[in-house]
Amino acid sequence: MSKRQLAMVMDLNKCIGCQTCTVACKTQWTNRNGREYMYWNNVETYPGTGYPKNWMELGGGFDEAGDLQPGIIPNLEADYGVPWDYNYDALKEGASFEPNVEPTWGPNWDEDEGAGVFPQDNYFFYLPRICNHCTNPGCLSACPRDAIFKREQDGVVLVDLDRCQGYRYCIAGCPYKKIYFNPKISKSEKCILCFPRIEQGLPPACAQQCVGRIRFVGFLDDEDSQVYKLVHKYKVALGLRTDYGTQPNVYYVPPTESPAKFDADGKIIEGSTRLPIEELEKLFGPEVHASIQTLKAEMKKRKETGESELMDILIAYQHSDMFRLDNNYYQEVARENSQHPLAPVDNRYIAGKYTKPTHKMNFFGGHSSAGGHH
Amino acid sequence: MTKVMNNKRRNFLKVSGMTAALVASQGSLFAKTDVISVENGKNDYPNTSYTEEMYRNEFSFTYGKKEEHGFAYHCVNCQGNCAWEVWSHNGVITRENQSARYPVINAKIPDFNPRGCNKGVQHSQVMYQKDRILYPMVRTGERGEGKWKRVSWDEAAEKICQNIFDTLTDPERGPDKLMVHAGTGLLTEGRRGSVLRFSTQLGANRIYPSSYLGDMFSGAAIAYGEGNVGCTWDFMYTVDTAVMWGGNPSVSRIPDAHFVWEGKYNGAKIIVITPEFNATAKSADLWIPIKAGSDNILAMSVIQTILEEKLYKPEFMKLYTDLPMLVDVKTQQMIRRTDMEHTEDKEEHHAWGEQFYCMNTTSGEPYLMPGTETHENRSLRLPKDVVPALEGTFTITDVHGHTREVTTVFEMLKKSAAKFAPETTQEITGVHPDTVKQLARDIALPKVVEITTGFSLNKYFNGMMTIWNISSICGLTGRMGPYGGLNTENEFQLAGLGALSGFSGKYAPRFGSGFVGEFMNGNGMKTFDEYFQDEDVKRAQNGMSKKEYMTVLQEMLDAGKNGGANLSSDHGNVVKPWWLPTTALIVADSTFRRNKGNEYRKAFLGRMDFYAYVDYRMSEAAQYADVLLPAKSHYEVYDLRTSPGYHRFTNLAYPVANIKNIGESMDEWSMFTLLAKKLEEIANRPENIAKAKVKDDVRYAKPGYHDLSIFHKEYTNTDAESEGEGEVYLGTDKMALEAALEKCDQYQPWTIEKMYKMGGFLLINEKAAKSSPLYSDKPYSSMENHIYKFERLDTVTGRQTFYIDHPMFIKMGAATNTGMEGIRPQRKEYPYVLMTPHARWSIHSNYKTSRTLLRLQRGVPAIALNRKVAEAKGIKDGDTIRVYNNLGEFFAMAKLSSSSPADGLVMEHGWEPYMYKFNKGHNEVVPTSLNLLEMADGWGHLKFGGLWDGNQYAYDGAVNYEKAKV
Repeated sequence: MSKRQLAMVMDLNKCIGCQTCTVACKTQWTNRNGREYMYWNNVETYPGTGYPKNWMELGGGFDEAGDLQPGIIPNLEADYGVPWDYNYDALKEGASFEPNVEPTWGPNWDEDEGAGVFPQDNYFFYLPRICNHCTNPGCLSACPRDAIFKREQDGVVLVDLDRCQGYRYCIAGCPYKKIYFNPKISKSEKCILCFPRIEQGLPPACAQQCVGRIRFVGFLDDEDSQVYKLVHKYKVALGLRTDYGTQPNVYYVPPTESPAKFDADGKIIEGSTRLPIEELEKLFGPEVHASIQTLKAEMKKRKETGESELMDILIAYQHSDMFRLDNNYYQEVARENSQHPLAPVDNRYIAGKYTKPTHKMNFFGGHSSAGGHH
Repeated sequence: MTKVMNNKRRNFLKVSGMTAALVASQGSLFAKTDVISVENGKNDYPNTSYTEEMYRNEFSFTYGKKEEHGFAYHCVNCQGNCAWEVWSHNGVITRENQSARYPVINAKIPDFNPRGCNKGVQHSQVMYQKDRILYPMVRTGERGEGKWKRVSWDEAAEKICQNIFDTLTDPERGPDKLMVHAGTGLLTEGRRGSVLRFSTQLGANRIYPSSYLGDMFSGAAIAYGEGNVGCTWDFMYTVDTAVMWGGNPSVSRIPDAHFVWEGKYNGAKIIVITPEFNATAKSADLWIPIKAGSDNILAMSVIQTILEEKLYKPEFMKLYTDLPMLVDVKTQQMIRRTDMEHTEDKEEHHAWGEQFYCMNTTSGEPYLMPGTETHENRSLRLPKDVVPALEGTFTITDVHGHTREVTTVFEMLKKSAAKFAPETTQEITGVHPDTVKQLARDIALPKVVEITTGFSLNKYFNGMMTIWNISSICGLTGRMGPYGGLNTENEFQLAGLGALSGFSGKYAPRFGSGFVGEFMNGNGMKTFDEYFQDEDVKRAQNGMSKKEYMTVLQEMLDAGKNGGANLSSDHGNVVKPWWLPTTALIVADSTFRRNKGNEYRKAFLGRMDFYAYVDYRMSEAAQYADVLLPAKSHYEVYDLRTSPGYHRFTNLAYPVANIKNIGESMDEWSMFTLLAKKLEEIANRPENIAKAKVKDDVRYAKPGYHDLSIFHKEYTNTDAESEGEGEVYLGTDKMALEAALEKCDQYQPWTIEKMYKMGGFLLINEKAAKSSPLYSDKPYSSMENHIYKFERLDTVTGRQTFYIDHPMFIKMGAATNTGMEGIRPQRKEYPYVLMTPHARWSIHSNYKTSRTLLRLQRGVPAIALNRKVAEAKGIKDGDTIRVYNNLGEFFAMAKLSSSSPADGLVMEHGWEPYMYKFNKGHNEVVPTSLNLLEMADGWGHLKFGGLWDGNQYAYDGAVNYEKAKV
């Protein structure tokens, strides 16, 4: 076990499927150097085939006895999709604009399609996914080189690119298929939870840049963090497919909101939901019932009384309050490891268990000028 | 790449815990570095720094130096307007990250951070894409053939300016034949001014973008005398009910959508009314799947229910609407002061022709209502002894001694609405009567209700009626200011920016109608005649035959040619003016992409003797140009933008330090200053100087001419007259930014440096608010002054309009709110409506060619088909389909979806024609038409201008589809 664990919570009621996260991640990390096909962050429409295609059926993870399960390595063309390009140069020559490879699959192929009968009971919601930075990572267990590790200070799971030999057992071992083979360097790469940003006071690109404001980031042992409150206090944020046995550290507030269904005559079926509970149970386990119950009860309370701490958290009045990155802590860790502590490039998100409120006052006071360029 | 991967998907790679351990134990044999032994990677891993340093270095590279960061927003036509911090390395932009520093307006209301979207977040990638126009180029082959010669800026300027000079000085052509126009790829308060200034100074014509895009809120303009009404989007958090009517904010209002969902957590009920199930509908409380284009009829059923169940607010209606105004039962004309009193002269006659009466129940006499434009009392407040009747029929005696039977506008509305009981309209709208009634109550009963109208509503022939009818729902239920109401798109007002684009009245812009101009440009009448049948016109225009429609329309068009009847009108515009230019200089407007019908490009190019185009990317409009000029893009310039008014911030564009120029691209101010210099040079040549004063109507040029021999001096305000007036010097993007900050009242007291320090933006001051106070701690919602301060609206009655006695409105049976079916053909062979809503993946055509974004779609134009219908046709997901009607065809990839209605096809719009097979864009099957109600003009507040033009429609094509054989 790492000493502390950074975690992310994503609120699926607020996710609008805009993929700003996906693109923010892409420009931060994966638009280059053999990573072009990778989406360390993707958003898939559920129900749907997902990304990579049918990832939930590709094995990996652990059984109840704790044994690593066999898995399949997805195929680039069929399952991830080729990162096709275009004849941009030829537009000047009056040409049509054409992809160089016929697109047959991609990371958002079944966007907004959903399932069910229109308009009676069709539905969909969005499922954003990054590496779960598991407490018991399938990729780590599968690596024959012992080249995958969890960082002591925050539990971020990384591939040791010095030692990785590109055997790809990790891909088979990860039940979420969130570790990728980089064909250019013949090594595996994956979401790094933007640790270099975090160490310098910037939340992960996918989270800080999320315009739906669905992502909270903080340490699970920090009782003042939103992630702690959502995961441990209210128990409304749940891991995805925890039955895979990897103990994921990305949590989801399950979708509870959908319009009522219609009967065959087009009449509203009062009190109905389009979100099949068995689907939610499949994704988030039996705990989803209690989570939905709590969420619905708090929403009702809010509507009736105007009060609810849980709603306050999920509403997230100030974007900066969604993140507690504990910068002093990182500075301490660096000093302990005899490294040069990195000064924060941004001081709006650096509060935390070991970063004192007095700091916070300085950083957040006079909100308008916080973090400005001086 | 594929070879490396495992090609056999079924080839299980089995790794049990035991084999993993076995291999692991031998791991050290392969170590590249020192031999290390790892017990368990979950603890105390000994070799973390190699990887960590690599990623830290990568981050450090993209982040660059903080002090070298720039700021920017994306001035394309999404109106979102978000502050971005632009990162760079050594003068090359690496990526963008939201500034996310907007201050909290109210601690109990979510802030505006981090504001941005999937498109804005990748401009850094697009700006270096190879469809970038790098150098000035002159066409050497046929138009569109793709043969170019790279030329110097001087050569390009010479060619363009010689053409402008020749056009203007040719007695046969002159300013009527010149178009200088900026499209919506450049919507800013700084740079856009350069093109507008150039255009106005020349007397060139240009057209209203919102009109030709079908984004003009003509229905709101009828109701409120203002099209842009509504709120800043944080208001959405505070409402009891939010109705998204024809709108999908989770897709097309991405930076602000969070306020809706946070509002839902705060107790709001969210209602979505759209034919398709979409990203907003998926989380709503109530989704109403309406049949495409029947919104105006559903709105009438809501009005009928409100009247039937007496959910309306009589006291509001008496004071703030024209519902108590008197109307002659027989003629349907409103009773005006000229009907009741003799007038002294023409001016008085005109003034009194816009004063109206109610029936005062206290005295039993007609009462001349205050608050009209020409009434001596402009307040809406009524004396205590005046209580207007809302209902009843009365007899009055007019100035000629005639007895006239009169009633109220409210009675006229009740009569009209009676035809639209929910049970009657169900077949047309597809909405169950119970749902209509629920909707009416959800709108009428809560305290605060905001109805946001999506831009799709105006894409239907009778979209104007839809917005007007929804406005009337708000009027009946007392929704204005703090109580919510109609939300088209709030717009703050900025004063003083005329210093950039204008000439203190010396020259005035030659505005043409957007929807009419493009109709004429593209031979619209031919397309119309080819496509629509008598029954279609009769259905949509109150029984008028196609023949009569075309005759009436032609008369109206004739009256508007080259400004036409407007030039001789004493009291404002009376027709939609249009010009047919033969020389054009167009900036950032993908005109062949957006115009409808299969004729447009051919007609446009056929008429155009010379056509120069400015952009940073190779759009379809660029491909066909005669001369191409490379513009800079959003991150490479100085600029700023406030508009419209989703929030109260003005964003700054400030390039990164030591930015490396891309090709020979130039900002528009520098570019047009260079063109101005060249034009002046040409005008001063001995052979030209005698012709250099170009005659023009005094409406457009006060001196009666445009003097090209001092063109550059006037353009940059270095002419003697401007120097004397102390006008700001102009000439570069940075000068324009400084001038805007200096001249615009609402920007005070900000400077560039302060904006930079703040995080790339400023807060506009209270003067930006027009019809409500801009409170420092509350979201903005328009028209509070109307209800609290009794301020008049800019309508003919000073109140919300429910009645228009323009002869055309009476003829169309639309003097008050009514429901009308659309013009879309209902023939069996074309059973599907083609819906092309605003896109998640582009802003119109901006960013459509982004590699980054296309990889997150299908890579080619794709169209969402109802799964069941498509399957019945033997079409599989991923198939290429042919969509067709009698106008034309296009091809797209099929997406089989449970979210598309059985009678509709849904495809995000904005694809350039060159992205489709055979260069046939989807507008090949979209006809064009003009609604006579929007053509009507010269009445009260409905006079052609930025407020009252019309809409080019997009959803009037009925189509069929099949599996393609290509």
